[in-house]
Amino acid sequence: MMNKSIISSRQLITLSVYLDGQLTSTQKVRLEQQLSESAELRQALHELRRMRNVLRQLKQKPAPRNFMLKPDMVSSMQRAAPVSRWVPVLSFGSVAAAILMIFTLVAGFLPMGMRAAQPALEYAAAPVIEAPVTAEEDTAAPLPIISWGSGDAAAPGVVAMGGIMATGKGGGGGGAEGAGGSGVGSGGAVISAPPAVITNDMGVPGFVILIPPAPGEGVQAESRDVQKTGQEDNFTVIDSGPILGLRITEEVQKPAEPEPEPASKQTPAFLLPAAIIFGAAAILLALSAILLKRKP
Amino acid sequence: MEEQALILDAVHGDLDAFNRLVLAYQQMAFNVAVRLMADDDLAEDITQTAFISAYRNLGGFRGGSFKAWLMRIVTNACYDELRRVKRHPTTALEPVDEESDEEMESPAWLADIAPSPEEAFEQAELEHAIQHCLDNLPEDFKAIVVLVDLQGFDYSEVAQVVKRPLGTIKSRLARGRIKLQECLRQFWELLPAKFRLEDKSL
Repeated sequence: MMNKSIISSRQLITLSVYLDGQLTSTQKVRLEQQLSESAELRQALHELRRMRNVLRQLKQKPAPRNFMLKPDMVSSMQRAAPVSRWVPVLSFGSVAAAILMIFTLVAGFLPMGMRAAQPALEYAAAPVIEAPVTAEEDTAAPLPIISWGSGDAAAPGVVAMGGIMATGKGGGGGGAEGAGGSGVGSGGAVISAPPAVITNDMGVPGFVILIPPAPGEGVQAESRDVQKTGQEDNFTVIDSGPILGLRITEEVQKPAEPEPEPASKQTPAFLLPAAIIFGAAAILLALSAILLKRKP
Repeated sequence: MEEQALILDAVHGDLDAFNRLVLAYQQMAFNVAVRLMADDDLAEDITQTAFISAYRNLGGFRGGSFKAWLMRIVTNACYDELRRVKRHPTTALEPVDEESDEEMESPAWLADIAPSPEEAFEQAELEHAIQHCLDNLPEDFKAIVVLVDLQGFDYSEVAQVVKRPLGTIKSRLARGRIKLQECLRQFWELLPAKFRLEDKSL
C-alpha cells in the first residue's frame, strides 16, 4: 500500500505523467534515480500502473445503432453557416467604437452638465451664504447692531459687534477674522453685520454662514461669551430687543450673479464630431458583421 | 489527409462525407458518453444529439484535431444533461423493506448481472466496479480519466477537449487516478484474479 505521508502529491503527479511517457528526458532520469532509491515510490508506481491496466481492460462498447445523419434530419434543421473570420473582428470593432462613443459623450457633456448645475446650487445656498464684500464698503455703510438682554442699550450685556465682524451661533471660532478686527463669537451670538471678508488660515476669502437662532436662543447668550471687536464708536444701538439689526430676509437672500464661464471650461469642439464618428463606425461595423454572418 | 478532405466536403454541405466521419467516431463518442453518464440510453441520445450539433456547427471548426473537437461537443452535451438531471432530480425506484420502511441497499455496480459465461461475468463485474468508482469522481476528473485511460487520448488532445492547460490535465489526471485507485481497492477482491495478482517484479 502507498504511504501518503512519504510520497508527496507532486511526486504522484510525476509518477502519473511518467506512466504515460510524458516526462522530459531530464525529469525521467531524475525520477528513475529516485525510484531506484525509494521502495515506497516503486510501490506507488506499481499500484498506479496496475490501476491503469485495469481501466484499459475495459472493452469498448459497440455503438447500439448507427448514428449517421439522414437527409430528413438535416433538412428539418437550419444549419449554421460557416462563420467568416472577419465576423469576430468586426464585432469587436463595433463594440470598441460604441464604448469610445460613450466615453467621448461622457467626457464632453458630463462636465457641461455639472457646470450648468453649479448656479442652481448657488441659488439654493443663497439664503445662508452671502457674497463677500470689502472692508471699505463696510465702514461706509450703516452698521447694524446686535443687542440682546435688557432693554437698556448701554447696559452691560449689550454687545455692539464690529461692523465687519461676523459671529456665529454657538461658536464663531475657527480663526474667522473680520476686516475690522478679529471676530470670535460664542454662545448665542447672532450675526447681524453685513458680511465681512472672512479669511481662513490660508488667507483665502470665505463666506459667512448665517444661521438664524432658535427662538430665545440668542437671548440666553451671556455677554461674556462674545468678544467685542472693532470700534465701538461706529456702532449705533438700534434697539435693545432680543435680535435686532438683522437684515430682512429678502436682502439676505439676494443671490450673487453667476460669473461667466471661463473659456478654458468650454467643451472642446472636436468631441461632438468625434462622438458622431465613433457612433457611425459602431453601426457600420455591426451591420457588416451581421451581413457577413448571414451570408451563406 | 483524407479526414481533412471529408471535413471540407462536409462543411460545404456534403452529408455523405459527414456520415463517413460519423462512422469513424460514433463508437468513441458513444463510449465517452456512456462512461460520463453511466446510462446507455441517455448516452445514445446524447451521441445522436452531439453529431447533429457537430454537423450544424462544422463551420466553426478551426482546424486542429477533429477528434478532440467532436469529443468536446460530446462531453459538453453530457455536462448539459448532468446539469439538467441535477436541476430536476428524479426519485430512484429502489425496493423498500417492508419491516423497516427503508430503501433496500442495492448498489448499481452489483445490480443487473445476468447469468453469462465466466468471461462475460468477470467483464461485467469489472465494468460495474469501475463505473461505480468513475461515478464518484468529480466531473472534470472523470472526463480526463475517461479520455486518457479508457479512450487513449494524449494530454494535448484532452487539453483541447476540456479547454484546460496541460498542467491542469496532468494534475487532475493524477488525482483522478489516485481517487479511482482508492475506490477500486474496496472491490479488489471481487475483481477477476488476473487483476489481483501482485507484480512480482518489484
